Amino acid sequence: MAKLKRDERVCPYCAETIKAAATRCRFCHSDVTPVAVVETEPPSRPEHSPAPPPPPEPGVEKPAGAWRPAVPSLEDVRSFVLTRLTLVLAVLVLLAATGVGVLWWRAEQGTSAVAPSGSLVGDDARTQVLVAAADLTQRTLSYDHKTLENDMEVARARMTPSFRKEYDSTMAQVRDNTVKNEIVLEAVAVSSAIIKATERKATVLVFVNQTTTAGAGKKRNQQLSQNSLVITLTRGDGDWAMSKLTALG
Amino acid sequence: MNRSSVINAVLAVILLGLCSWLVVFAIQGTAAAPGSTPAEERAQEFSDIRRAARDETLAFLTIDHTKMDELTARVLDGATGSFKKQYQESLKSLKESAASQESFSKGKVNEVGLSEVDADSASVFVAAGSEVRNKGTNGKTENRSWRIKLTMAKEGDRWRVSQLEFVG
Repeated sequence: MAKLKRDERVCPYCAETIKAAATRCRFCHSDVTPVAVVETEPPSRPEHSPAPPPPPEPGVEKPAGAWRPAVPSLEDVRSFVLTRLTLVLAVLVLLAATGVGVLWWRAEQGTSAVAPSGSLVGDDARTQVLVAAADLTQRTLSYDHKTLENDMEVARARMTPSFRKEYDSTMAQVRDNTVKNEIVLEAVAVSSAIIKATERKATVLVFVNQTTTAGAGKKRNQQLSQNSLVITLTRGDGDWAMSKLTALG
Repeated sequence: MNRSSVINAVLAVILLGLCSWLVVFAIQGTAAAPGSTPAEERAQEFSDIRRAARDETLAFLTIDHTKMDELTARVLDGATGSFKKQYQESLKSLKESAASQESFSKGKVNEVGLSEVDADSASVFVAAGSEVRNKGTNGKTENRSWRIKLTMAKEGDRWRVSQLEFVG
């Protein structure tokens, strides 16, 4: 058994260690007579030292509380927690339950545009993707030999760096022919539909009707092609940008 | 064990449970809530629509003159509204031409995309293809590709095609 501390004693009923000043045993709940704690003077201290007023009169009759420091010791906190463990636990349970309740409620009320799987479900966010896909497809696949530089700038503005490179190399190949044969390409997105979309990346099925007009006047020659394209868009913090374009067979 | 330590033990277990639930919330976000959130339900709805659209497109594009009854019954099962009516009306001539042409067609769905989706209706675009063989192709298999717009309607728990159009 541990040695008794200065402010402890043994309960006469159950023999457990209790506080000397206790009026009731914390183990067996028997009423006990409080015993004052005798403060042992440090031996070095002189009898009549000019102690700060009022000098405490050491005496057996004084209650133990008179010498206890105002700041509760670790031991005090521990014993408080132990005796009121049920209360402390109950308060913690209440706090945790409130936390869970608030999070649950927020999850139910949430008009989150994104499902936990990451898929984009918000109407506005989806409409933005649909419109961006149609718009960027038309920009990329439309150009006029008369305004080629400008048309290309408009298309290049909304592309990822790697797709821009691909676009540049394709345009470099068709540029001479476009100018020479006075070619006008006009793409119309007839539909736009989401295959898969998260907040950062979207794959969109776009049906495009593309009219290619070569020459002018009597030599004018027009061709229509109908294509199904899969467009990949990505987004950093700003607008959606075209990152891939694949034509389905 | 006295009564207060039993209460304490019970409270400690409850506290532990609640704390671990909070941890799940911190890691998984709204998925930690029991049941499904509106966003989860919508994501589920999207995948239901996609599956129904894919199945019905495949059924529609699949033709085998030796078992037309079975195949057309499958199409009708996934159809409703005006599409169902139209398909029913053309059923007789479809079966006749399949028989006389000895037609085979194997459907293939390349991509399914969702456009507008409401609580009980949706427009879906499908890029599909079919391998066709009949008397007209002289026994050779020809590849065709289709751009299809489906209008879907929700009936009870099930999504069905209420309109099927080829996109020009």
